[in-house]
Amino acid sequence: MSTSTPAASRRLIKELTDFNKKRPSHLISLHPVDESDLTHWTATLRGPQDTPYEGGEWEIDIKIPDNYPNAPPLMVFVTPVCHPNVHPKTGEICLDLLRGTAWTPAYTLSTTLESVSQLLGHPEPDSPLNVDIAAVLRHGDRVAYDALVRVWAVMYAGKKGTTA
Amino acid sequence: MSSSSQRPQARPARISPSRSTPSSPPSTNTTAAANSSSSVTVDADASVTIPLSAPRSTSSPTNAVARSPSPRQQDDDEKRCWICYTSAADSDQPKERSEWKSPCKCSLVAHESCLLDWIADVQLNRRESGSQRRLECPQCKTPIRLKEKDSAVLDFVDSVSQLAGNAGAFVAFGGLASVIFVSATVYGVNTIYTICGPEFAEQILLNRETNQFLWSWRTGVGLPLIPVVLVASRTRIFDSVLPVLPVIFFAQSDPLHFTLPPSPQITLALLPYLRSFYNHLWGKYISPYEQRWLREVTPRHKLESEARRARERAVRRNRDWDALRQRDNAQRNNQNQRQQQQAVQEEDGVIVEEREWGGELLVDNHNVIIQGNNLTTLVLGALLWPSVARLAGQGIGKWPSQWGGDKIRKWLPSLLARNLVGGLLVVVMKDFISLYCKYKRAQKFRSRTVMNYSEVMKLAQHASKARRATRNSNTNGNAAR
Repeated sequence: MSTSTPAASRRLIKELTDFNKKRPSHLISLHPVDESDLTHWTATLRGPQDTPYEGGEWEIDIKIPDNYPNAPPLMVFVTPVCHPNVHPKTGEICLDLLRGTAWTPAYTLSTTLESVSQLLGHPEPDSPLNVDIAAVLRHGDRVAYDALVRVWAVMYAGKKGTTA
Repeated sequence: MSSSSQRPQARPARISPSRSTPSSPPSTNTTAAANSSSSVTVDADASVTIPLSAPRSTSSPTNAVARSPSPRQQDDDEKRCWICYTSAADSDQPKERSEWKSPCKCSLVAHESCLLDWIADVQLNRRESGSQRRLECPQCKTPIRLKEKDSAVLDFVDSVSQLAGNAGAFVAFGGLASVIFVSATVYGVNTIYTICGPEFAEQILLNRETNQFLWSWRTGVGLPLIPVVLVASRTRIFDSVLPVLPVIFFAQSDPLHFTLPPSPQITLALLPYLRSFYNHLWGKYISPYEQRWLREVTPRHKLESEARRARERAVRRNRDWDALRQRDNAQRNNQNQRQQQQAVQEEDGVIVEEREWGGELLVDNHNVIIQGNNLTTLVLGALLWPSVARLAGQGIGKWPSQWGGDKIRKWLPSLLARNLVGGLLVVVMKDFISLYCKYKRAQKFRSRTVMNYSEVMKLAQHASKARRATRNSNTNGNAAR
């Protein structure tokens, strides 16, 4: 397994202790997959309140680059999520923060995940990775959009169905 | 931490939005959701993580404003680097960590080494991807200033390479333009040699004293203009400018000094005048017939619509005059001034519209289209003219003596004169051949009748009978043989 640089691992350990001290509301869990390898993390994201994602839990896979925190972490949805800016198959997330253009070392894994959580509540259908659901949203069919999101959340993300 | 006096003013502006974010959605602007969410997260970063690591911290401005009434109590141990996230109090803090720096007016502090590392990374990215990301504090967006040894050479090279990167399009355009310029110039030189023959061409192009090619503004502009002028001379767009150009570019020395066999420069300079004279004669004496024949072969509906357009244009012109007159009246009649002006204004509106519309009509009545040429044949014909003239000139030069060739050669001693006369003859012949064709086509139309089907059948029978007859005679002949 690759090892992160001393500066990166020191900071990652800090982030982990910070997270364990006070857990932010948008995350259920955030920790390295293996305690000995700080370059590979996993997180569980809580569906934000007042959105159709509420009640679901999504697993996100996080890879830390060598030059972290100068470069953004690589985040990918493991649990399928129905969202215009998330690729339906690979789970790739279209967020300027994660692409490095807007990234600065001031972000942490936790705050970056908060951005992802906010992206769930504020889809951007004009730069879609999931063309189909983006088209639904662009036509203004909010009911269909919400229903699709909820169905995916029930199917994959452990959300409790309203009728079953 | 030296600029603590500025901080209290800067803080509330940054912190108040971050305080409000948890309760309300970060942004109502969904079009920039990605951007807004990211900027909000920076705030959240300050509001969430800093208080966590240093709950009683007074160095953190977030706490200072939101919770602690006394921002003065700064405890160095509670400082936390926003890049490596270690604080001064950490036990594993290595001693070699460099000093703390606060490069902006907000609360973020960092180790100098961390900052330098990050800056180097940003600059590397900038050089590699050419992105124009500024170096600024991620929270308050204050530009981060560096003190470094200036190197004039490095700055120069950097700015030049940046310019070169930006100027790619311009360079490409310039390359294209120079290709066009060079080919036009080569074409120009070639044309002069073709038309004038080597000796006169050298007289025009070479310096008289040194006998070397003279690259002056005249040749620099004039030579590439030759193909342009040739093409332009096929239309009437540049009629007003065309006769002046050759005088400028060819009459290099004393244009008024006129020798009887005119110098090649003067001869070439006179060509456009000759052309306008010829066009004038053609328009006066031949065009009426040409127009009549053309009209005879044009379908009636087209003629009618053209006539209607012409009538409309005339009406419009009259109305323009009416409007002008009315305006004059309005100015004169002081009693009804207001009403009249209103009327004129309304009329003006209508007229302006119609004028624009009329302009479009005029375009498709342009003489380029009247001449019946399309653009390609026009350009090609114009550019091929010198070569054709040369061919005709050679033809004149080799005219057999028994048909008066000697006399012609005596009249036109130089290659230039023969080429020019040949070229002119070609133009005149071309015009008359096309005129003859128009006449013949008109005649054909005039004599046209439609055959009845019985006539067609009769003709077909005749033809087949004749064919059979020839075939029979052929087979008979073969059999006899």
